Amino acid sequence: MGVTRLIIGREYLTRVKKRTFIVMTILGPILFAGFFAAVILMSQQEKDKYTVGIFDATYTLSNRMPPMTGKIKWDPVNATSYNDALIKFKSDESFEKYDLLLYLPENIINTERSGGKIIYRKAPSISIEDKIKESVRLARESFIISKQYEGDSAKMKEFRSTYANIRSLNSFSLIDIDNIDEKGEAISKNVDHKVGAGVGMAFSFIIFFFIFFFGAQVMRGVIEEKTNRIIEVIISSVKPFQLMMGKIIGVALVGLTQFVIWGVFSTILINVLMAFIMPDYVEGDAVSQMSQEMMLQNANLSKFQNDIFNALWALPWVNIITSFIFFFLMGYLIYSALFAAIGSAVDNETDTQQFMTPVILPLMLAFYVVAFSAFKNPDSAAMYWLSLFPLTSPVVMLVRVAMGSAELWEVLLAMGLLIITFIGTVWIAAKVYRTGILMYGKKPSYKEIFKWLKY
Amino acid sequence: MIFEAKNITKLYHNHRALNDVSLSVPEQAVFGLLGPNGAGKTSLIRIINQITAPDKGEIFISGEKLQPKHIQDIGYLPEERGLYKKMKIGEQALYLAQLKGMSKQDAKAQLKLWFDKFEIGDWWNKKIEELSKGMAQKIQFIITVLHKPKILILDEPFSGFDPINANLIKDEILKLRDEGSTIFLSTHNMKSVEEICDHIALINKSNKVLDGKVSEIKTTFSKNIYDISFEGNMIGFANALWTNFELVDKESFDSTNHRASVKLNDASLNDLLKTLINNDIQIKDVTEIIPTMDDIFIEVVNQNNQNI
Repeated sequence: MGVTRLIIGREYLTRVKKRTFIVMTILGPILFAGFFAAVILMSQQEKDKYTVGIFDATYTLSNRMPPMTGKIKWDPVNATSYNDALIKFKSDESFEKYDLLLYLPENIINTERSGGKIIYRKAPSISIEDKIKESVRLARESFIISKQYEGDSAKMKEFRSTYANIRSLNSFSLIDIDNIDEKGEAISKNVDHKVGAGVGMAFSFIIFFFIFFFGAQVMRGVIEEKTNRIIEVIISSVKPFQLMMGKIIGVALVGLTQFVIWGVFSTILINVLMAFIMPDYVEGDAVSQMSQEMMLQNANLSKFQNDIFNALWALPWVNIITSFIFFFLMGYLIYSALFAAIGSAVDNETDTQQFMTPVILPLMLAFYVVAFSAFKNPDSAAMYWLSLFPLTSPVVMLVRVAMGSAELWEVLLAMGLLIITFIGTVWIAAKVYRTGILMYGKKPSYKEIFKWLKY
Repeated sequence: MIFEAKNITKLYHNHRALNDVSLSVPEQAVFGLLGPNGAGKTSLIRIINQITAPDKGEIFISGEKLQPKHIQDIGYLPEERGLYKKMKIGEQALYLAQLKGMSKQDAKAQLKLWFDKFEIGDWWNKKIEELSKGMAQKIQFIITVLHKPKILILDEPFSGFDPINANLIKDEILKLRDEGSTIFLSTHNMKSVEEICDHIALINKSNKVLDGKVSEIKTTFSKNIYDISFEGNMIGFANALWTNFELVDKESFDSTNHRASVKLNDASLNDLLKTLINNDIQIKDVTEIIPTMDDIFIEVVNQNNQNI
């Protein structure tokens, strides 16, 4: 074990100290955060001013909507009923000035699941939607409080000054407003499903890229030692298997280091950028003191974000993390062993093409299947079978686990198949490797490599 | 015997690399492992280094069967050698020494001694790619001997060195022998074999065809030919020889100074000298012609190839 640790140490340190590693480690999060910021900025490209027509069945809330300087103008509509308002919004000229129609049903005062709606011709951005919902919530709260204390301003003041009370109020004040388009069809915002697919995809892409980049690094390392001719000196001191595994593990640690640094830096950078891009939800100071306090409380936790957090929270995290670690390790080990074997068989990188293709093929297939069907068609036959096949399961299974669509026995079967494949692959790779590293000259054929297995 | 190989046979796919080869090497010898390209020398060396295992036969180090712990007792300088190009010299020397089982402190101290000896102390932080080939070879030699191995296997150690550095390395090899190491020297450079080997084995086409002490081998292969320089005339010299003496070569420097090579059949050198003196030939110098290792190598290999 001592020498293997030495090998792991060398493989790790020489790579981590390289300039390219340091540059990539710093640039990666900057690029990632920049990309993220660009996406956010683009999604924020919105109209300067929204006129929101309110059909208020309660006849009280519309007066209490907090004024939004600039962005949003509230305007009670002239209609006899919600249906009347909806029809007018679709066809009546007098309603054309409204970008959005907000429907506040009578029971919105009493219940959180009230069936309030935002109706639009063109979907508003998430932040506009959030501002509207937030305003409704505040209007409702201010009404409830004032009703509760019947205009007793002293009591109200006392109430406002108590943080604990604000918190308790907060907890029953979420309201439910659907987004529906002008045809009256609710947009399915199946957040839970999408978040599951997104998280699963993120993990499977991490596995895919890790295998790809760091597997290739293992291969390059093997070729380097072979062409340097240092290989014979090393294997007169250690077993080829120790050298191969030391390299594979050392490179894996390099990758993990990079990912951890990227993760931490990206999170910090994104948070900093977010503070610049999405500063505050409320503009203007005409909002009541109460509302401001409430706003501050909730500025970081809008409804949409709330949904995502709830969905994230509801994901089967124990399953996801355990599977991620397992599939990640197995996938990397299997592929990097194959890459090491390829590296040992050739004298230079250009000769690797012929052997790389069949190894990369299943990996690419898994990647494309995940990229194209994780959101749209997660229960497709391709997803199902590739999540079991050992050369693709490391990339595919995670999506199914995150979405909760994989049965336990399926996961266990995939794991079992992976373990068997892992043992087989490392056995074969070690045989090819220990012969290949001492073979120079012409590029071997598959037939010759097959012979090496028998040495 | 510090090293013994008994009936080593190594088979590769439909190719026999070594056929029943046995060797024994005494302690503190410089043992020349000779043979044409592809004879099986590298296969044997790799078996000793436990890079590959023999199909038949056994190897013993100081009477013990070869096993993984012996890796520490062996230093190996392969013919095709190299180091990590982008790693600092000091770091990779430490790394390779630790792979051989040395502690870091020990390796550092030894390295410092060697770097001082070769006056390259300021190379520690250089990279191999910044050095010339000869300089890199020096580093490689130091790395090979750093852990003071009992057995040192050097495959063409002088290639890539200029004469001055080759001499430096030669002296170090002899010094290591005097300090107790046994050295295997695999080379095609017969001059260096003559200079430093005391034992040799010749391998041809997977078989050992010759082994023994260099001095004894030379005696065995000597043809009993003597070079005689004399004053007088060549005809008189030739007439003086009778059937037991055979004139194999002659050369005249001027009308009175000549040299002749005479092979003795069934006669001693004294017989020849008596005959020449009796015939009034003025003898200037007599030397026995001793075959060079080059000659022996070529003769044995050619003979062996004809027999097969």
